Amino acid sequence: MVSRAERAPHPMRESGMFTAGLRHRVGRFLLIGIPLAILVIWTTLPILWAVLSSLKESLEIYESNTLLPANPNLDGYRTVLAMRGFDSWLFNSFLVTVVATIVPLVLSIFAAYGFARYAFRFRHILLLLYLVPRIIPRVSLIVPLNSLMSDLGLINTYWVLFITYTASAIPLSTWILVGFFAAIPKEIEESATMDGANMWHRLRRVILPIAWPGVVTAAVLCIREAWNEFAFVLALINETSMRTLPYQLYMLKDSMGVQDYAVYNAFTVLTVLPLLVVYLLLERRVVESIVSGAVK
Amino acid sequence: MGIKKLFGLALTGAMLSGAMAFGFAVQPAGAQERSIKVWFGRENFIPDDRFETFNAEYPDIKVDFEVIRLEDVNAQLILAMRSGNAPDIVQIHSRDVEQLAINKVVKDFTAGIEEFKTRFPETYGQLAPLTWEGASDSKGNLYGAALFAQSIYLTYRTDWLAEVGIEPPLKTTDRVLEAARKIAALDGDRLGFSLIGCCHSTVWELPLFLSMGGQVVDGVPQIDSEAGIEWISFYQTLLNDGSAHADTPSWDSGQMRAAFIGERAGMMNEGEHIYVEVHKQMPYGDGKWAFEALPTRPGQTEPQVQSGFAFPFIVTSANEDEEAALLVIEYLARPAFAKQVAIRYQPTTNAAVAEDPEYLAAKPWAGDIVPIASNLISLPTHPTRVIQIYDVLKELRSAMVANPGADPAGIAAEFQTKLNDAAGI
Repeated sequence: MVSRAERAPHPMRESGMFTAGLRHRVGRFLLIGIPLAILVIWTTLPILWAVLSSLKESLEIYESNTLLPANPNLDGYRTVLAMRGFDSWLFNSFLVTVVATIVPLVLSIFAAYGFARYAFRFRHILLLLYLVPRIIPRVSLIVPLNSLMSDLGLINTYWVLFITYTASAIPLSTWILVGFFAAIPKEIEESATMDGANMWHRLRRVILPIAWPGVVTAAVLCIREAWNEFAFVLALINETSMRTLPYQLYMLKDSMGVQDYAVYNAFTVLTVLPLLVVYLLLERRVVESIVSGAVK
Repeated sequence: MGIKKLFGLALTGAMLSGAMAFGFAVQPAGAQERSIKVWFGRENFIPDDRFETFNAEYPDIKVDFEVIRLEDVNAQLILAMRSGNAPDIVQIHSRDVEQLAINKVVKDFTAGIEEFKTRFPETYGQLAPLTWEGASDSKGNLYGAALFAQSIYLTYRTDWLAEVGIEPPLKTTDRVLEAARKIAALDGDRLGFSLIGCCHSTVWELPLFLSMGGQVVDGVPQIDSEAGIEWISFYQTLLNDGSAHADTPSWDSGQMRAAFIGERAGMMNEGEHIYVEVHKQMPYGDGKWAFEALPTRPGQTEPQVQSGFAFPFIVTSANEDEEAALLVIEYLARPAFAKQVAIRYQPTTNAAVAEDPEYLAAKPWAGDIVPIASNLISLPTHPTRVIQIYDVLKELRSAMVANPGADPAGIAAEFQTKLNDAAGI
């Protein structure tokens, strides 16, 4: 039988535990809480600023430093939605984003599987060469690309955007997927082979389900790249109906008049919104996949 | 929605887009045999009817038009030339005409303009000399027509000037500085003068330099001169006196304009097109604001020069149908269409518009501008090194407003060397 004195925690020990717990909590707050709060403010404040500015009156942004609009209104959004061609720009952005996500993703899955699973000569150099288009500044590619696409007669077509966006996304997605595929133990594939699975089945039934978070991550980055791309569309498209949303956002900048920042920010918000929705949707899937993988 | 469904939808979208790109959804070719492509520098320059009247008058000519920002047009034009998608007519800054002509990007359209004169004498007769000056090179070759042009005027709050006991016109820079100082001293919320500090070309500052007796020799502003030093000193004094906002070095044109329109600044140097916005906030008829020619130096012996700059429509070397180009230029020059642009945006060089009752009703200040704008000269430019020279002038503007305490003579000497280097002298 344990005596009461033995069961009760020693006052000194209890006080020490409390101090240690407090120190732990303070430490956690300082090391994690504060940086996290700064990060959240850092990332959300510009979006919040854009949203609130889009609700302001046209000159208000110049006159007041306050974040909140004095007389919130949706005039900026009405102006943007009434713009001649807004539906075309939205459609163009959607179209090139869909193509420049699906195509690079499919090609990258095969490429990454090859790089991750097959040992062949110059594999590492080839993988490194995949990065070259992303190392070279995009602006320096504009003139040769314009020249090439002109020769092919593709300027001002969807093809020019499909090709350049896809080419730009493939290295990114391949590199991401190589890492995910290489991390999958070979034994799992070997077991599948023993059960009679061919390469296609192994990739489809074994590798892809396990590496699904990687595929979704690559997809999210491809979507972001294509949706926000600006330099190529500026150089390769000059017809109004073929423009994408970022191009048109740039066109709103008017140095010869008084910049209407409410409209400018309303356009920004409407440009970012679809991306934000897709991003949040897919981000949840990534987290779910990672968590379920961890439990298994 | 499941992720597989989402990808399924996306895949269907990709297939559809592929089909479209392959040409399944291509529109049938038009019935018109001739076509002409026009690039406007701003949406605001496009006629309200979007060439409907033109199409009715010339049904065999199809007009395609796009908006390519004036800031990007030179680079875009060269890329479009290379790709075979160049426009027939392009709107550019007048300062770039000669450089593009030397590079054979634009076409000598002198003969076309001669034909304009013969075929459309009425429209031709309405166009002011700046129409041709703003679209020609130093040899007098014409490349199109500058149908819209503007100048910079000293713009001020008359009610505030009255408050500080100063009666316009101000005429000289010392009076402008005095007025700015007194307005700023009225209360902490008011600025004497609203200035640009960054981000744009120096078309706001160069006209003042010329007005103050500054000279431009072979396209190079001679800032290391009495006029140049006083010009630099003028901007520095506005900052030193606290007449301009302390954040001026980061102010762009929007901030400068908004300070005046938002009734926070007493003066600014600005073009007439911005008066449309000022008028919305403070109706001109109320007499709260007015304008005059840019000021001169006190005791200046050189004549006051009021300079302007145009946004000409230029025929490019890609054009193969000169008659169609001529017809489009004539169409844009007509008072009915030039007036639309002039009412909402930039003033036109079609003199007939200046007397139009609708125009005068929309821009009640227009009649007061005529005497100042009647002798506009085109802002001098360098034939081949204009971009480099403007880059140096931008840097100079930053130096003037960011270093108000620096010796203006020192700044003038330093930047004259840079300007000469930029011009290859």
